[in-house]
Amino acid sequence: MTSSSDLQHQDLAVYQDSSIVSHRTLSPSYNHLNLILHHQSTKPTWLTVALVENCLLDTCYLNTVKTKNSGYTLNGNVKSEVILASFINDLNVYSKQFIKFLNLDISAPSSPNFKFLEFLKKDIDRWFETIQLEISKLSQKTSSKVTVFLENPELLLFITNCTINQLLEKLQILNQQCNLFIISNSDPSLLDHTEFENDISTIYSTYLAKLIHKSNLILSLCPLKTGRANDITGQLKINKGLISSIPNVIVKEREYLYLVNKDGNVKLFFR
Amino acid sequence: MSFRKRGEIVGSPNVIPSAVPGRGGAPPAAPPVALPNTRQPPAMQSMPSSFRPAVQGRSAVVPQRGSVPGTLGNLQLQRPNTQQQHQQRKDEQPLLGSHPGVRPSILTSEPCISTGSSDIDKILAHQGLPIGTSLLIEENGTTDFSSTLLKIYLSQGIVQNRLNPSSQNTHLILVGLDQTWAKTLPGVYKGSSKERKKLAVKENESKVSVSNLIDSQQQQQLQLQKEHILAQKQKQQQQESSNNDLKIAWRYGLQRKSEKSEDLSESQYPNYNNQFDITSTLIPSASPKELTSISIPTRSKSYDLVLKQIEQAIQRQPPNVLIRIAVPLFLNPMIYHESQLQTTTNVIQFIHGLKRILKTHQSRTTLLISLNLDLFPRSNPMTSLIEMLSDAIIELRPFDPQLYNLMEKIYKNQPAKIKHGHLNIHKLPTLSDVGLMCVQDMEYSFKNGKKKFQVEEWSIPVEEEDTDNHNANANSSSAHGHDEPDVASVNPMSSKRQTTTDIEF
Amino acid sequence: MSSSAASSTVLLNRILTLKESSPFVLALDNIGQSSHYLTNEFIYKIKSTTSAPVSILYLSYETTNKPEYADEFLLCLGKPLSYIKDHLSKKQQITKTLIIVDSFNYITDDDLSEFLATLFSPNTTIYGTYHLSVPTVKNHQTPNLPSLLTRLQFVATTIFEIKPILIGIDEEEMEHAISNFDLPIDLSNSSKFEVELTYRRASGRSLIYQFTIDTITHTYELKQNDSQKDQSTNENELLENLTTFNLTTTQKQKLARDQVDLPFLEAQQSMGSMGGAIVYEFEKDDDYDEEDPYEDPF
Repeated sequence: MTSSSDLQHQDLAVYQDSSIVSHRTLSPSYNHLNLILHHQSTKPTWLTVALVENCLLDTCYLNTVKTKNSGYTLNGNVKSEVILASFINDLNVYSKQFIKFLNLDISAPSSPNFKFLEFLKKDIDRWFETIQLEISKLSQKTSSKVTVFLENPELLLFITNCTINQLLEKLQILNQQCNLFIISNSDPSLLDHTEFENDISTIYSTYLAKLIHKSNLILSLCPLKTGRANDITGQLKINKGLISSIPNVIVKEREYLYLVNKDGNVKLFFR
Repeated sequence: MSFRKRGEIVGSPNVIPSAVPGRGGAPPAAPPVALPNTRQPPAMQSMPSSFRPAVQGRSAVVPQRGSVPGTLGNLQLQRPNTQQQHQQRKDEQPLLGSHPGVRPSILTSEPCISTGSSDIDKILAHQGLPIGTSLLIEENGTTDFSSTLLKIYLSQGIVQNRLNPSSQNTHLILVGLDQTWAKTLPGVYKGSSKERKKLAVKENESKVSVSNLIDSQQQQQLQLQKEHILAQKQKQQQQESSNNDLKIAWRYGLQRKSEKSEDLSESQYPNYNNQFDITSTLIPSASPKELTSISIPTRSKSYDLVLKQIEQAIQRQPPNVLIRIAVPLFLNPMIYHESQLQTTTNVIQFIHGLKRILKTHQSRTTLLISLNLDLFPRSNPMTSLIEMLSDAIIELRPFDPQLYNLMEKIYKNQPAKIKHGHLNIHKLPTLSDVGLMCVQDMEYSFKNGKKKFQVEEWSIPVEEEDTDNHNANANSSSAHGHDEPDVASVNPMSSKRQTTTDIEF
Repeated sequence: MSSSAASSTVLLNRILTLKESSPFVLALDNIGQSSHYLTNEFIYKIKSTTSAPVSILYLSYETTNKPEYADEFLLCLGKPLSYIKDHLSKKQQITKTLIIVDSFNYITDDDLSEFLATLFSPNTTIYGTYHLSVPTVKNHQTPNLPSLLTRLQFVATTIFEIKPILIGIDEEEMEHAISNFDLPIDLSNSSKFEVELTYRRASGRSLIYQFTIDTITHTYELKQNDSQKDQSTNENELLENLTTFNLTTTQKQKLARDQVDLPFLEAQQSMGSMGGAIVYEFEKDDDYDEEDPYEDPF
């Protein structure tokens, strides 16, 4: 295999018009459900930061050229308000990344366009109400659409006594008010389902399969099948979701190789 | 190999790598863009002017942001200073300076504590376990090497706690096992028999020694200051003498190289890490003041009570006290009797609860859990969930008997080379969270030696016929440096024996 | 052969335009190829060719956004059956109705019969999807009852089993990819896909065809049955262009060849009937000595 040093560093592009979070997906007529699937060894923090950045500012720290979409003018608004809610990470993990890549201090207590929520220390039972409240707060202020990132909500299936359909119902209610990015683990050990109803893997793969059947876009991160390499961290696959959304929002399916080095810098390459 | 790499980082601890290569790539634009995001070396930080031209370089982005402040509010451009400064806002800083067992990570400058084994500290990439994180130790087979690691982790806490008898600085919480187990915590390694003799001579001269430090705490209070300096001196002398040994066997002491580079930081953090002799026990053993043991209540339906007790135990300690939590032999049916406690929801709730406690007290808590993979293999989705909620994961995979026999045969003359098993890394604190792929399978081997838990890069044993000469040399070097040979074969048994007795009560 | 191909495409067209009487159309899909595209094709056909208006009721269990074509859109996830019942009872059944159920995976074993009974009515076609990628579980109370899927397949009058067209990847690899939720690039969920159509006549007898459906050009192509095609074409294809001689056989030659009696066929019938015994018949030139005890051939 060629080493990463020979490969050309690439920009991240998700849709056919080379956008990352397309402006068309932010139209009020259709709410998107996007999935970010990852393995345990390839966590998507860097990708989440890139997507949040693109939602807010329409830029992307991964790209060399900071593309400005012609259809978008910055008239005092951000592209989309963002809520980042995590069931597994606290603010610490993200705030360092945001500072590092974007010079943004997201730990500032009240920013009008961005909200970080964590349900690690806080009352996990009230996650749904909390997010709903924040969505309504954000959408009251502006006309632009809210994008919500939910990290590992599947934990709710095992920590609380919430059933798969109950969780999906709540996610659907949220999705009716915003675009949703759901970050979930897709380790093979969690997907090796059996016929037992209460087997973790059965619960988990049922949840994920149902979610995938609703999705408009799937981004998946996994390690190289050939094992660890010093110059490649893993691969990023962009798949269109199972449901096509609205005309002209066309996902360009492709595979990237990516490298996150010890300093946390990220590079993308074509496979 | 990676040891040397880390050595490089140690050598230049202040240069925090730039964030830029990820952004810059187009050659013409790169240099100006580079500056604002680079964590500048200290000299540059003091010059605010260096920030300005850099901003102009980002002209494509800045006007956008420039027009925003009204709406972006607090979300606006803020100049990030070094990470340390960022952390200062949190209450982590006090411990970093004042606690003898805390030092900044060589990678991220987060405050870290030692796990009690310098080799484990090393493979965790931070030179320790960052405070506020957890380490899951998985073990295959019926051996119990992981308990050794948990014991030295606890011992390390006690040793640091006893540095200054007038004030506590560390508290231990042991979940699942009681004080009887805690009585078997290993004591500090006092050097080889030769070194011990040397020490005895010095002892007579100075009337103060390491063992005295521990035995006569009353005395200590009086001449605390003096002794501290002396202890440091002794340590240095020890190092010097070992360095002399190294000179003789410098060709064979490859892995010692990294330790040399460590010397610098060791003098800066003299009490960060100790060596433990697992054949000895810590005297006096941990008192209830130092260690809270929380048993798993029989006939309980969930872990709520355990979590509550942990929380209370932490809250009883003043805020400047470090907390080391150990959950040995998690889900071992001999300790976790109730089948109710083995159900998915309960287990995941417990692990999640532990994580919540860690994050709530993230400026002073660390956690070690050990889990047996024979009972809960990694293909078991429950293990996957436990792993998902852990910040760092290492796996101990003892060699199967054939391989062990082969090694014994090949290294007949170099018992020091015999290892006990593979050590796999599945997750590293902070790095895995950021998205680094940290899985390292079959790259390291471990050896549960008498004086240290040793981790080395794994190399396949090669049967060599005509290396008598070489063997002799290497043999002498190992005899010189450390007196491990006899322990290698004894240890696994002794540690096993300990656990069987533990489980019986 | 060509006539049956024509009739099968006609049948598919008639089903998709609701002209064939088939009250329950079931689509089976997996994450490799969603039924979403088939649904769109279905709707396109109905809207473009049917003269009588068809009202479309969409029962949503997993769809968040109301599709444009739906006249009514009902969010059913988490709602009891009575909610749907109430809604249906209010409706006047005058026009032809298509009820779309976006996924049967959300309906419990116990509710299925009642659910279907609620929906069935004259002048109504039910079209619903069942995702095969969602794991099926055994009900421990009633381990011997048929599964939800089996029951659906039994009741359905038309079944579409949807598969992606595989290029450069074999079926096993695809299955593995699907079970790991790791979809190959540019293969899955495309607008062109394969279906296996099972149509049940009134008598219950099934007709099975395989099609390739292109939803952009709206063309359907009958896929020849693999096994049939293989046998007839394989041999000829193998021999063709192999040498400058003509090694292939025509139909006439084949027939002639089949009629040739093989030699010794008769001999096998009469003489060979004794099995493997040695039959010795004395002939006059044989030098046979009766007194030699060792020369007895029997």
